Order: sequence, then structure tokens, then C-alpha cells
Amino acid sequence: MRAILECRTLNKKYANLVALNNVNLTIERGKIIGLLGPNGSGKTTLIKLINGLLVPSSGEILIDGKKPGPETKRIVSYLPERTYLPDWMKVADAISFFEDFYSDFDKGKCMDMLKRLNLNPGMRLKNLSKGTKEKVQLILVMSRQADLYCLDEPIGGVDPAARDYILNTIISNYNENASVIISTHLIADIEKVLDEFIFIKDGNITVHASVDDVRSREGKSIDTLFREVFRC
Amino acid sequence: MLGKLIKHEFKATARLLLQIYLILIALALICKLVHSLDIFKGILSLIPATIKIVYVISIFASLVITVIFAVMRFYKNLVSDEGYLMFTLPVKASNLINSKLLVSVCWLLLNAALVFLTYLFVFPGQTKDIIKALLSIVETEFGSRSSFLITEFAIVMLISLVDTILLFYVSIAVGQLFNRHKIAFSAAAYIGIYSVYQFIAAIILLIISFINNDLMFNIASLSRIIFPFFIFFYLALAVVLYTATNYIFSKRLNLE
Repeated sequence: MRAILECRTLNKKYANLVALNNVNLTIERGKIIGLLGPNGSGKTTLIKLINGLLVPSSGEILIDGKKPGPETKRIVSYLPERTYLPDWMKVADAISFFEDFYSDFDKGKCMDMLKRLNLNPGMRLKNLSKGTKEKVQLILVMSRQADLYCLDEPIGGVDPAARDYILNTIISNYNENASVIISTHLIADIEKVLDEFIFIKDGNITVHASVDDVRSREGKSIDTLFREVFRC
Repeated sequence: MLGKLIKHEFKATARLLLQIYLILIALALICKLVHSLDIFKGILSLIPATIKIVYVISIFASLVITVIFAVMRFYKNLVSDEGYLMFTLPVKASNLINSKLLVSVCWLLLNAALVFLTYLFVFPGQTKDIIKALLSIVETEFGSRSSFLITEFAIVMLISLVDTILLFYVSIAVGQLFNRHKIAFSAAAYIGIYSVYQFIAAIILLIISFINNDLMFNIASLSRIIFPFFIFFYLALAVVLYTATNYIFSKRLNLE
């Protein structure tokens, strides 16, 4: 089966900054991958390139063999690191929006998850706290049956109890043909759910390996390894 | 997908605009009522005069708000945080632009219709007189070509309306190419593009008037040369502005 994501000598430069430098990366289906790196290392840039919100300076990015466009957006479910739902909407409006545009959106599943987290669809987004908005967005994104989920800082703003629920949601909601990319610097919290991890530093991918391999070979957690590699 | 985008665009814009139009209608009703009462004598006659002024101001305010709201909506929905939602939908950038353009034009036409109808309702005699006077001028000057001239004029107005909106769109598209000061660069792009096309239009008109000496003095040239020129020019401008906007959002998207 074709890799869900492939980057070939991918570069993204801003005026005086190299955000991604010759990134070569292949991500297979059926994996949960942690995209790990300090702030400003290029995590968000990579995810935005996957979603077509930025255009590469050079090189190529392919999702299921296709360049980012309407076809790839149909199969990618993206959670940005910011609140992107219009604040005049009620939660129910956002649900009908997703239902209209994404044929893989499962409304029943969405309603179940909202209920579990005691979120009422009648609530207006404007009146919700930042953490609650993040929960709503994550629920919407995870209610799709996508082939690739890109979650940019999905647990940053929510409390530890909700964090556990969200991680469980992520593990239980994707199918064997789908992959999940989770960008974060809260490694200890998500380490247990990861199959693979990527270390990214100053726009370079320094490590892309299996979590189990590293644990058994080096005898340490990814969190410890991260603290060593990225020691300030 | 365009249909769904249009549906959601109407839903998002109706919230504010319908309120504005209801205020316009309410002011027209109040104005009509006050004027028909005819009980305000002496100093009190200021009351109907004031209400009339408020109503007339609301006409212009509603049109200005509709245009500003269309522009702000385009910026907020596509280039700010909400752009992350809109540009990750499985739709082409052209459909995002089409939906917004179509809905904005619809609102402006509705607004114009409401202005005309409420004015006709509040000041029926005056409005009919103005229309009659205008028609008789057109009739004497253009005779059998009158309806042709009016059609041309309507087309010029409609296309220039589309151009007005597209000029804002392309400026916002250009502004978002920059990593900082996106709004400032959008404003600069607007001024720059506006100046360029005004300049080009002026040059072409100048050339035409050289070729055709009596252009500016012969009113018949209005329907034969001036209006056709503007129809062609505005149409060409619309194509350029639309293509540029679509190109930037399809191939050069740069959401910060």
C-alpha cells in the first residue's frame, strides 16, 4: 500500500529563516507518530505544508501520492494549534458545517464524545474557555474517518483528565489504514500511545525511529532521550 | 460544493446584514408615519425633518456597511485564523472566492432594491417625478435607443460593482503573501492596483477621444462608445482581478 505521506527534499524558507531544510520523510499507514521538537523547530510548518496552508519553497510533499489539494483535504483531518472555528457559531453549527463538507464525518460519534465531556451542542463558541474550544475542535476532527490525522498541539490547553480521554479517543478512533501525526512538546503525556517518533530541530529531521526500538536499544524513554538531545 | 459554500456564506452574513436592512425598513416606516401625521407645527416640525435625515443617512450607511462587511468577512474568514478551517475544506480556492463574491453581490442588490422600494414608499410622488424626468431626458436624447442605453448602464453598474469587490479581494490576497503587516500590504496593494487601472482607463479614453474628436461633446457617443468601452474595460478588469486572486489563493497561500 502507498505511503500516506511522503516528503522529498522538502524546503520551506521565510525571508531570513529556514523553517524546513531538505526534509525527506515517509510515513506509512497504521501508525501513530509523534512529531517532537522545541518551539520554532518547524513542526507547525510541516503540518501546514501537509494541509496546503503553505506552499513549499522547493521539493515535494505527497499525501497518498497526491500534492495537497481538494482531493487530499478530503482524506486529511487537521487540528491546527489555534482556534479556527468562527466564534459566532454554536457547537451545533460547527457540527453541521463539518457534516456538510466532510463525507467521512460521523455525527453520532461526535455527539457521543461531546456527551462524554459534558459539552452541550447548544453552547456558543464565543462563550467557551480556550480549553473547551480545543476539546470541541478535537472532537470534530476525530469524528472524521480520515486517512491521515494531523494534530498540532492537541493537548496543550486541556486539563490532565481531559488529556487522558483525548488520547484514548485518538487511539480508539483511527482505523488500521489511517495514520496520526501528533505534534507536541508534552512528550511524557503522549509517549505511551506512539508507534514512531520524529525529532525535528531547526528545520532538520534528526531522528525518525520506532518507539519500541529506542526503548529496548537505549533503555530509556523518549522523554529522557528528548531532554538529552535537545539540552539547552 | 459551491452550493454548500453559498449556503453557509448566507448563514454567516445574514446575522448582521438582515438586522441592518430591518433597521432601514423600520426607519422608512417611521418616516412615512411621521410625515403622514401632519401634526408637527412650529418648532415641532424639526421632528419629521430630523427623521427624514436619519432615514436618508441610513440608506447610505446600509450600503457602506454591506460593502465593508463583505470585505471584512473575506479577510477574517480566509486570511485570519478562520482561514485554517476554510482552506482545509475539500474545495477549490475558486469556489471559496465564487461563494463570497456571489453572496456579496446578492446582498448589495437586495440592499439597493430595499433602498429604492422604501424610498418609493416614503416619498412616492417625488420618486416617480424623478424617474419620469430622467426617463424623458433619456427619451429625448436617445429616442429608440433609450432602452438599449438603460440596459448598457445597468450592465456597467453591475460589473463595476463586481470589480469594486474583486479589487478588495485581490488586495487581501496580495497582502497575505507577506509574512508581516498583511493588512498594511493589502491597503498598499489596493491603492497601487486602483491607481494603475484608473491610469490605464484614462489613457484609453484619451486615445479614443483623439480618434473620435466629438466624443466628449456628442451625447450620442454615450451609448455608442463610452458605455461599451466601460463594459469591455470593467469586464477585462474583472477577469484579471479574479484570475489573480484565484492564482494567489490556489498556488501561493501563505497563512501565518
